[in-house]
Order: sequence, then C-alpha cells, then structure tokens
Amino acid sequence: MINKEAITKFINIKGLKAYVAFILFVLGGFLYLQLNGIMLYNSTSTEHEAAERTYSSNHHK
Amino acid sequence: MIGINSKYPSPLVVPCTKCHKVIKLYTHQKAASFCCSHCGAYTLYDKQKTLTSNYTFSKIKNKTFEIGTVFKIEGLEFVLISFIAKEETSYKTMWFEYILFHPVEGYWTLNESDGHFTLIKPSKYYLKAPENIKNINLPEKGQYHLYSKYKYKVKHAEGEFFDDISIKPNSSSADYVNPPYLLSYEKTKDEIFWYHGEYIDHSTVKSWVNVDVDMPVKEGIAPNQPYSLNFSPDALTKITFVSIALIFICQFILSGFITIPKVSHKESFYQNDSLSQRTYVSAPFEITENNSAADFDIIGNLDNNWLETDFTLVNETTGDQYYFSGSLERYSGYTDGESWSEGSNEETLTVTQLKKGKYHFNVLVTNDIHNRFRILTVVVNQNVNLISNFIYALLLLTAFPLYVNYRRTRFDRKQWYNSNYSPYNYD
Repeated sequence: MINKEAITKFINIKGLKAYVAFILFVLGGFLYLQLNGIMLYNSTSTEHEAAERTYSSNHHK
Repeated sequence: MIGINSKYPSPLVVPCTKCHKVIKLYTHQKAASFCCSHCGAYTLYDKQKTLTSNYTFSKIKNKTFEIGTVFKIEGLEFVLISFIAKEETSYKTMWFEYILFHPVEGYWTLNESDGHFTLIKPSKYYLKAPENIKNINLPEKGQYHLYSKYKYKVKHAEGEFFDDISIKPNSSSADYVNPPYLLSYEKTKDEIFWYHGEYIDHSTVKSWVNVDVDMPVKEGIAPNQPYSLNFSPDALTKITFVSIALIFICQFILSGFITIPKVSHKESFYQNDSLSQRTYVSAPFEITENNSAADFDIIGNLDNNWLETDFTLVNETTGDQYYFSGSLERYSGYTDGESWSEGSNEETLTVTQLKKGKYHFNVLVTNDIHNRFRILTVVVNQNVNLISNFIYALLLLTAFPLYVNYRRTRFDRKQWYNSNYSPYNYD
C-alpha cells in the first residue's frame, strides 16, 4: 500500500521547484520527440531493419 | 524550582486547602485561583485575598505536559502554569488548554484538540459585536471563515489561573479559520476577548521543551490545520498556465514553421487477378526531411468487404527497411428497419524517424478470394506533425496540478465536515 505521508514528503522536498523541473523535462522531451520524428506511442506497429542485414533485398526491383 | 529561568523569582509555595500538598504559584499575586494537581480541590482568593474552597474537579486525562515545564517559544521562556479541560456544551467534544506565562508577554495558550496543537495569543483584532459576521479579513493574514460557534464548560483544571474558572459566566465563543491561522472570540455579558492562533506541528512543539514528551495521537483534521503540500495554490495555478501556454507556443511554432506536411507520393493499385494475395511495388519517391515522420494513408473503395496490407518501406539510399501493416473493412446493411454501417475505407499508418532519401514500398495485399477490392490508393505525407506527442505532453503537464487539486479538495471537505458553516454539500 502506498504511504500517503511518504508521497506528501516526497512532493514537499523541493516544493514547486520539483514541479518546475518536471515542466522543463516535459517541454524538453516534447521538443526532442517532435524534432526527431519520434512518437511517444505509435498505434502503427513498425519494425525497422538496418541496412547491413537487408541491403541485398533492396535490389529486387 | 522546576525548570524556570533563574532570573525569575522562585514560585510561591502554598499548601492545598484540602490535601495540604504543595502547590507552586509561578505568577505569585497575579493568581486569582488555583487547583490542586493531586486532589483536584479548587481554591479561590476572594476580594480580601483569603482562600475559599468549595469545588473539586475530577481528573479527565493525563496531561501531555507537566505544570512548571518551560517552553522556549520565539526566543522567550514561558512556564506552564495551568491545564484546563473544556467541553463544548452541544456536541460534548473536549479540548485541553495549557496556559503559558511570561512576565512581559503575559498569557499564551497551547491548545490541544484531537492531538492537534494551536498556539493562541491575545489578538490585536477587535470587533465589539461579531455575532453575525461570517468572514473576517485581516490584511496581513487574509480571509478568515466562520467555522464554529459554541459554549463550553470547564471539566477539569490544574494549576493557577488569573480569574475564577469555576463560575464561568454564560460566555459564547466562535472560531474563524484561515489555515494555519485561527481567530477566536469569547464574549461574556460585559466584555469580549479576541485571540489569534496558529497551528503548530508536533515536531515544533517538541522542540520548545527540554523534556521527553509523549505526544498525543492525531485524529482527523483540525479546523486550522494547513494542507500538507506546501504549495501556494496561486503559484501552482500560475506555473501551470505558463507551462500550458509554452507548450501551445512550441506546438504552434513547430506546426507552422518546422513540421509542415507535404504529399510525397500518391499511387493507386488495381486488382487484376482473382487471387487472395499479390504484391505491388510503388514508384520511387523522395523523403526530403531528416528524422521526420510520414503518414501512409490507405484508401479503399470497399463495400461489405475487407483487405489487409503489409508494407515494406525501403530506403533506397541507405538500404534500411521498415515493416508495418494495416487493414480496411467496410460493412453496411439494413436490419429491422434501420440502416447501419461499420468500419472505414480509410486508415492512416504512421512511420517515424525516417532518414531523408529515395524510397519505395512493397505492399502485400490480402483480400477475400470471393470478393475483389478493385482499387487501393496509398498517399504518403511526409514531415507530419505528431499531434499525439502534444496531447501526451499536455496531459503530463496538467496531471500534477489536477492531482494536487483533487487532494486539496478532499482535504478541505474533510476539514469542514464538522462545521455547521461548511461550504461543501455532503449529501
């Protein structure tokens, strides 16, 4: 069972500073994902195979 | 002498009028009455300063602090001169008051109620007729809200008192709360006293005394107990709004200037056989942005039919391959006088982290062998904006303030539950 006092103590350690740090983390993470074309959750299941193993299959055309 | 600073005079020692045991009067001639800790006999100085005793208090509970204990509060040394147990006349709830004395500051009270402590001092605030007042605003502290109105009687007492506590006149009292602060008055026929209190946690109370104390167990939430999270609600709200504004601005800039979708390729494939599977190879197309995401919109023209697609996207520049799949199904009919339809002729498949380069895709289409799909169109949109990341980030930013707000509301509802003036409805 989660100890409510422990949660309260944890959140109070740095007060609002912890929340501001969390906001910066979320904003930074959001920009990183958007600028690198990464989806946090993609409903399209995609597998990626690097070129070394499959290069020969590119020439089937 | 028990603990009091040596610069103070020694307490006046008098015998109990009933059991003759020693009673120490720390306030000397200021004591108007005293009550024996041993037998409970209450003794009063009359106007001629002679002693009369006609009342005995029975013991209610063991005190948390002993008479004579020194409290060092705000750099000042107070001595505990008396203990009073009071009972509210309507609901029979009881609380305990430890009266502290300092030669300059006078009398302060440490109030113990359900294991919670409040330090009470005489207040500078004064209002002659507060009976109909529900809210009081003190500029330096904020808004105080009426929590309770009550009358009380003294159930037990020990130590010395500056007035006669046995014949309490018909006084009425009220508490106004603005956690951690408390504003109270006690009004008699002739006068009104105002007090200001502040909630004190156990560790602070313990730090005031130099002796080991078994603190009482806290029960419930005190009327002036502050919410445990030490966030200012206003600061939390402001920071949350600023963070939400920032993420909207980021999303606006990204979608307006950086991730601008454009169609890279559009191609239709036709079924020219009666097989259940065949593979189509697309014409080559360019992905011009590095580390971008692309949407593959698959569009069919199905009618009570289905098909499945398995894509192999090939980067002809690097040789990387991406595998992904999707399906379409579309059914409609007319049943029990009502038309219905389910499924869709369109689906979007998103492929992420694509390097720029020349691509083509192979698509294996599987369909019902008895039912042709006729045409399948694939549209490739490159450099799409991933709106789902924006929604997740927004949810993450609002989750914490929503959680804090939920806890605060729950706390407030519980805190006001015992009040006749609660702003909450508990039905």
